[in-house]
Amino acid sequence: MSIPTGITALPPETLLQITGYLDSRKDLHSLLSTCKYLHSIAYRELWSVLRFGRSVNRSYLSGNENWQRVIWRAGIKRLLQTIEESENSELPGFEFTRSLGFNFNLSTNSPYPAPGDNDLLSTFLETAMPKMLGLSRIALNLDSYVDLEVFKKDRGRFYDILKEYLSSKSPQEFSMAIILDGSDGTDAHLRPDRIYTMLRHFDLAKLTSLELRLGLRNRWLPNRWETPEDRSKAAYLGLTGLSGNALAVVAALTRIFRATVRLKRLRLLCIPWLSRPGLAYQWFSVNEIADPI
Amino acid sequence: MSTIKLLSSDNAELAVDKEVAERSILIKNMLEDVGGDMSDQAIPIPNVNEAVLRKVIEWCEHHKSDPPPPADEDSDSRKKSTDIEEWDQKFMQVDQEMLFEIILAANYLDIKPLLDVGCKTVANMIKGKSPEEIRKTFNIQNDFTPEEEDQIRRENEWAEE
Repeated sequence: MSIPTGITALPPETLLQITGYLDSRKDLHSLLSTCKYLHSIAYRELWSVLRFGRSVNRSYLSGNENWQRVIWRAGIKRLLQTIEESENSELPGFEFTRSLGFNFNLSTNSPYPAPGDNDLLSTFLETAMPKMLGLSRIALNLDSYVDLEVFKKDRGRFYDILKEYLSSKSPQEFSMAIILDGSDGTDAHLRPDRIYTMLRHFDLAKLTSLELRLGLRNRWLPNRWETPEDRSKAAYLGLTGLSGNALAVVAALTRIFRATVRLKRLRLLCIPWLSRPGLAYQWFSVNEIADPI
Repeated sequence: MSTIKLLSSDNAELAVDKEVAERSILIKNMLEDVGGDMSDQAIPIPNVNEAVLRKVIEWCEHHKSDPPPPADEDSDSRKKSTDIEEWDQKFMQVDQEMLFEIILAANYLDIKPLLDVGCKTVANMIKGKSPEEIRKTFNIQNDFTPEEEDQIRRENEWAEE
């Protein structure tokens, strides 16, 4: 009796686990081109999670994200072209798409995407989302360097399409994950109440995973903000009381948590920032934030 | 320390510390089902031959005091790194037939950390290779027609970048 050996003797679930460790699309592409059996596995993996990034200087990319799987501008263009070319014979890959990811948080120095990137993404969403019958998850990695108004103007069409799509899905069949980085140490720092306003743009009842990086400013010292300009900046950042912006952050978090009724995972990173080096700041107790939450 | 006996597919009886054998969730559950007392009866492992079983036991022996893997099955938190610790790397330096047998045995015996190491090893063998190189490495027959190959190329071109 001859027992099949080798890689093609492995059961599909084991091969799926192996393909899960392949962190570049190129590797998956090579694997699916080898034979029919491996194609059936790697093709599914390749199309199951599509993650998009905008074009920026890639030297800023952080180490904790799998960038080799991210689809950049050229890839999006190519995908759109493929859809166009296969108008008659449907593109079957989208049937396997379960999850879409959008990464806008790539660089502190370049808050704006390359011209046309959001339009390209928007066109892609309009064309491809109706084909993704199994889509059940959207993940957004947002930056906070831009003000809310810019945020709306910059990605208006993209978010409108997303919002409309989400409104047709029930929270039972669809989930969302958001990473919001509001920890920038510069004065472009996200105002605590804006965190809520920004998140509210999405249907928070569908949110199952939330990661917030918040910049916590230390206890405010009365002699720190001297000029009227300084003082208005302090007010903008919520640094009006003796606890720095902690209370404003707590207030924002409380509002968020009231709305995120399906939240299963929460990661909260609070990063203390000093506005000016060399100043003597006092630390406030973590309990000041933890207790109200 | 109590010892149990395992019976391989080719009828070899191997004595193993109970603690070591219980790295296999299959065996652990089996022992729990019979109340733990299997001292005079060998547990048949019909899918695994002696050579592979010895290899698997060697791994379990070395990893017997590892903490249990986290129960978190969330795909997001699943660590995707293919880093393998040095001892495991050496352990996996076997011929391909043995490698795939170990993976199949780990799957059958439900030893998740060993399965992970095996899968990572295979993934590392695939990384950076062209389709033809992968076929060569694993002795895979190309069973696509030229038309199918063309179709695959067109459909997945966006991923080639």
